Amino acid sequence: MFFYFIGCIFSECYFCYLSVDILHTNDNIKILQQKIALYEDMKAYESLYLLLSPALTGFCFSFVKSQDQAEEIVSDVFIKLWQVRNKLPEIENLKVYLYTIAKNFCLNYIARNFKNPVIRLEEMDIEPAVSLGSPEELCISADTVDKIQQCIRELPPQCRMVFQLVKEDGMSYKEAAEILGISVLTVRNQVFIATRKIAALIPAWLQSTQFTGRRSAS
Amino acid sequence: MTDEKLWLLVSLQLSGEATPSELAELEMLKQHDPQANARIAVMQQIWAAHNMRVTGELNKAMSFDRHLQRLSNHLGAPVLQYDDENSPENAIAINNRRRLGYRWFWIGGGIAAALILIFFQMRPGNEPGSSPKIAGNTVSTKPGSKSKIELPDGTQVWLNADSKLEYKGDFSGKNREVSLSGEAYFDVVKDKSRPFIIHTRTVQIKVLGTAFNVRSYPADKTTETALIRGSVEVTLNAQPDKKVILKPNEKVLIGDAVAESNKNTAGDAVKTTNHEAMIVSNVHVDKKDQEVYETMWVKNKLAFDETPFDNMIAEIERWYNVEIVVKNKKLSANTYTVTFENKTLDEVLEGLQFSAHFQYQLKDGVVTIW
Repeated sequence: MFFYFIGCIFSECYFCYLSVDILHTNDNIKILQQKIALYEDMKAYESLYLLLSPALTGFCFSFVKSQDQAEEIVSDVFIKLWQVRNKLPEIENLKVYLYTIAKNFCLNYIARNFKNPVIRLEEMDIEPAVSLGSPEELCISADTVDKIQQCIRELPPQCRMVFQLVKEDGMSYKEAAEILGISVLTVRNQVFIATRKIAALIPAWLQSTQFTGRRSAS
Repeated sequence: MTDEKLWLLVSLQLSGEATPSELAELEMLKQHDPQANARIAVMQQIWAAHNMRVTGELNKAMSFDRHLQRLSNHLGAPVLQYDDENSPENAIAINNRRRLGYRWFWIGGGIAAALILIFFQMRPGNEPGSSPKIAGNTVSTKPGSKSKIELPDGTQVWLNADSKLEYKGDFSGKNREVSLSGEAYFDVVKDKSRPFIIHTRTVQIKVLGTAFNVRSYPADKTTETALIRGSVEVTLNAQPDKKVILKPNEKVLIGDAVAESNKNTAGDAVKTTNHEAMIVSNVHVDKKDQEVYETMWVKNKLAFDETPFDNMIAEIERWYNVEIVVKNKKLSANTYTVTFENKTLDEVLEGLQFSAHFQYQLKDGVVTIW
């Protein structure tokens, strides 16, 4: 019991740290945004690119399923950003703005280049780019990790996208809702559905392994 | 049932969306069901995994380089007057009318920009001596921005800051005619049957298929045509019988009035006519990179080659969209040769400060130099 407790406290602290990190990033984006808008600061532009492009590329990849194409779309997004730099001060949440543009560019790309374009998000095939930990980190078998991976892939498309945005890119429900043009409640439900489905795959007999794992760690 | 509730609370907690009371409820449930704790811990680990996604620094830097390359290639087809339409509201609206959205958005924007410009053109009191008017499309850039456009015949045009290009809708006539105020680099598609003609306030330039740079800012008092390949024929508006045919890597400088004080390197042929000075010389090639100074702006390089101080200041004003006040008149005496690539205004001024020996201050978008 005691060790459970330590474990929980431990992981909760980790989480506090994570969310602080995300807040930090958001502040950072604000500063970069200002520098680009006011001074056309190339350095700030570069920092912003380096900060956001990996996540944005992952996001685009989910739509277009090609790494090169995703990178090109992200590049287009940043070209657009540079073009509208004079108007950046008016943009409240730059991250949401960039994701929204990225999504629109992806949809345009799909409409142009796919034979049977499906441009309704609910029907689109989304390739999830969600990373899990290694079996060792998770203290579960590799087999279970595969099953979870599979489960995420089989979630309804919209649910996959929502889960990816919230978990992977650290979006708030409000931000994710804005990007995808759905309601906050829908986001909340989709995240819940994904979490519940994954939870069902985490074996119930786990506690003993987990217990020894924690004990040896502490 | 409690299980459902439990995972809902966990999902809220992990998303950072749980309220304090929800967190307290989650703690309660955990107390009642200690077995769930381990599974929750695994779930937390799964959620935390995103932090471990690492993209190599080198990889990122390379992708940024590729991006810069694309950015400079684009030079912003959409940095036209109508980029006002380009607000996030629109970006989101596109989403709702996806398929129609984008194309009509640009066409609509283009028409709006053309209408606005035609409106301005119609207004009386247009300054005399401006370029001959051609009804149709107008593309213009603001100070501080550049643009690249493709004309209906496939000709590529890079438009430098604070410039304006007008052309007839579809080039359906016998000639392909455009009129230019400011600076532009043309890469003209070959069409022997339909010459491409550029009107500026002092000259008209007739070409068949070629690449060249035209610089005709009202403030410059000169019009410069620099040829990169092919051949062009430059005719004075005032004296249609005066013609110059340029060979590759030659340029012609035409003054608005009397011949200016000679600012070209020695050995240039100087022809002075009654009203307008025509100076034919070679384009200036950077010895190190073999790049032509006249067209470096196309690659987003701010380049000066034995440029008089005042002209340089005017160029910087346009490039960065600032106002520069020069208090020290002595500075005008020198000429400067320097290239800036992707530099901020501050970096440029700092660089010049040392060779030109001046002090400067940037305040409210106005630079004061003394």
